[in-house]
Amino acid sequence: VVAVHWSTEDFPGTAAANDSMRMVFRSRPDLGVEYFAEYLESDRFPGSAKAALRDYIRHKYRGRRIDLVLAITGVALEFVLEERDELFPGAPVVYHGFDEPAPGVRVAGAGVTGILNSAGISETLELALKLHPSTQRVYVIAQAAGHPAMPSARMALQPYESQVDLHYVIAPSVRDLMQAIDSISGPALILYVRYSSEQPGQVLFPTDVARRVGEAARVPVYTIHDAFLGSGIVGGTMHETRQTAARAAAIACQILEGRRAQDIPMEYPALLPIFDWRQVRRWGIDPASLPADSKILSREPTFWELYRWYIVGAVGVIVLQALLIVGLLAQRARRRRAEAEVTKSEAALRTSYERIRQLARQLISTREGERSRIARELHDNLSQQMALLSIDVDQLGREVEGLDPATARVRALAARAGEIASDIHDLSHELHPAKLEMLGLVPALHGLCRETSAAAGLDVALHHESATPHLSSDLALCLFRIAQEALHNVVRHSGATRADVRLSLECRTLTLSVADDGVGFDPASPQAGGIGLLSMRERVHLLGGDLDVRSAPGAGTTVTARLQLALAEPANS
Amino acid sequence: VSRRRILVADDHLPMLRYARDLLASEFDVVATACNGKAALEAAATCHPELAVLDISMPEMSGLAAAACMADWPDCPRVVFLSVHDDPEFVDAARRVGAAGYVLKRSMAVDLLPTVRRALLDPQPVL
Repeated sequence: VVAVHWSTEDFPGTAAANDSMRMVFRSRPDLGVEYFAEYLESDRFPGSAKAALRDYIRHKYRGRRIDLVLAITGVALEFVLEERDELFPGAPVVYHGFDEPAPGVRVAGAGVTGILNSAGISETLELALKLHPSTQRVYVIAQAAGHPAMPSARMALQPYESQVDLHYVIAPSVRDLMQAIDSISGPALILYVRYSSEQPGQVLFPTDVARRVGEAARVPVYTIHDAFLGSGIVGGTMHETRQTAARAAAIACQILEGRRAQDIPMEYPALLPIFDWRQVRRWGIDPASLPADSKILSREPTFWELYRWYIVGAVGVIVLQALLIVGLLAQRARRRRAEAEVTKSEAALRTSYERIRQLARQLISTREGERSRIARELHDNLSQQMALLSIDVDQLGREVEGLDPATARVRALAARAGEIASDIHDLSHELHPAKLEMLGLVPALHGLCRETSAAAGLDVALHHESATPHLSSDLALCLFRIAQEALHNVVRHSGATRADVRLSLECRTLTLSVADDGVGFDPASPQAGGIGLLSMRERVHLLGGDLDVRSAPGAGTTVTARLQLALAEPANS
Repeated sequence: VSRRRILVADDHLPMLRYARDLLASEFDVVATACNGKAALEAAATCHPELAVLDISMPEMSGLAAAACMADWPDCPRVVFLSVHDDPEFVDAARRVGAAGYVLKRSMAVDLLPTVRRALLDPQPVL
């Protein structure tokens, strides 16, 4: 396969087309295509190019069969068709260009088919005017030796003459052109179709000129060829050279597979709006106003596109952290609330405990006060009355001595009065021991031990130090009541034969213990204690002391109360 | 022979009256009082030879009054009246130097002999 280009090898569009076509052939190893490219360059060598290339090809490809010719542009097609019989006999032609081949050409000889591009000049201007609606002047650059750029442009743009002020820039040299460009400003556009200079020493391809124009222009520059993009030109409506060249190569493959060129219809690829993103940004064109099917070149990835995952990650971490912080704060608040609740309920509990103790204290002291009052009443009045009654009865007894039935009855009366007096005395003593108040704790305990021994037939001994301090009535009463209750328990529950009551003072701690040798009990069992132990404990607690009960089944019981002497009470009085 | 001077104290008025009348039959009852404190004051002014004191009285008990009198140079002898027959009371009476301890219910029989005995010289010990 030989491709004949009009332009030079290093013309950017040419290189792109070659590259694209080679790739298509390479992708079909089954066809075994050998691809060669030749360059007519009749624009630069108008007189000699055709003959030189003909001779060159003839010599170069001597002895080789050429199966297919690709003709790039109308100029190349003209050359290929002129020389086909001699240079490429029987080879079908695949054409890639702008100008429609003459009607007979398609079917003549081995046939012609291919791709017909449109120039896109009017479409580009249409698009440019839509994107820059305030445009008043359009400067058209369409000047190339041996190339019908200017007439094509004039023809295509004729419909716009009434709409905008169209200027066709005529510049014999690039310098002139650049001067002209420099003077363009205001609400204007430049439409760069093509410009090339073949002046000796100053050969410039249209791509080079395009770059200069794009860089120098102070108004947006549009163009019709994708090879001109990338150097300051905004864009335009055009074909993608690589795409159309690849299509042409694909058609060539069909022919190499055996189809006749005549049978393959010409293809008319659609124009595509193509933009250089940097220029779109430079001229402040709203990307949303670009046609929906636009192709954007050199698009710089946005900050979001570049760092999307970093941003997502960072935001995720921040959100997570924020949630964590919120969670921690919420938990702290909850904990504080709970602590406050606990503190409050603790305080309430303390208050109610204090109230209960206060109540218990009041209960005990009220009860003791009441008992003491009744005991005093019994003692101070009833006992005296009974004593007087006894005296009177005794007197009566002496007076009736000898009178038989009366004497016996008065004696019985005296005995009953004595019993009642004794009962009243016992009751009074039980309610509130007068001994305790009058004689103090030790004599009162002596009395208690003696009475318990006598009443229960049990050996009760009191052990105490000789010097016992004078105690407050509260303290004395408390210890007496504990001894009373403990001995009461000994008599009722222990079955003991002996009990020892000990009172001792050590470092201002008064200790009273009541120990027995009875059956004992398990202090851990739920039945242990009962109301007696409870009230003993409460009495001791009320005076800031503690009560200790030690017992085990079969090992007797020891109840120990420890109380601190108040500072006002001298330890040794 | 001049009658021996005696003080009687009891907070129970019928009892006080009875005791006073009983003692007055034989002795000169120079003062009566209805509590320990009044008994002390009366004793300080009347200087009785013997005080018959109820062992338990309001304001100041007979025991306390006796303990106070014991410190006086011319302290009167003391005989207690009591409804308590417990040995602890008797011990307490002995400790304050009492010369007698009479149960109220047997006053009619025991008081005069006890006072008589208490007034003997040398002073008998309870």
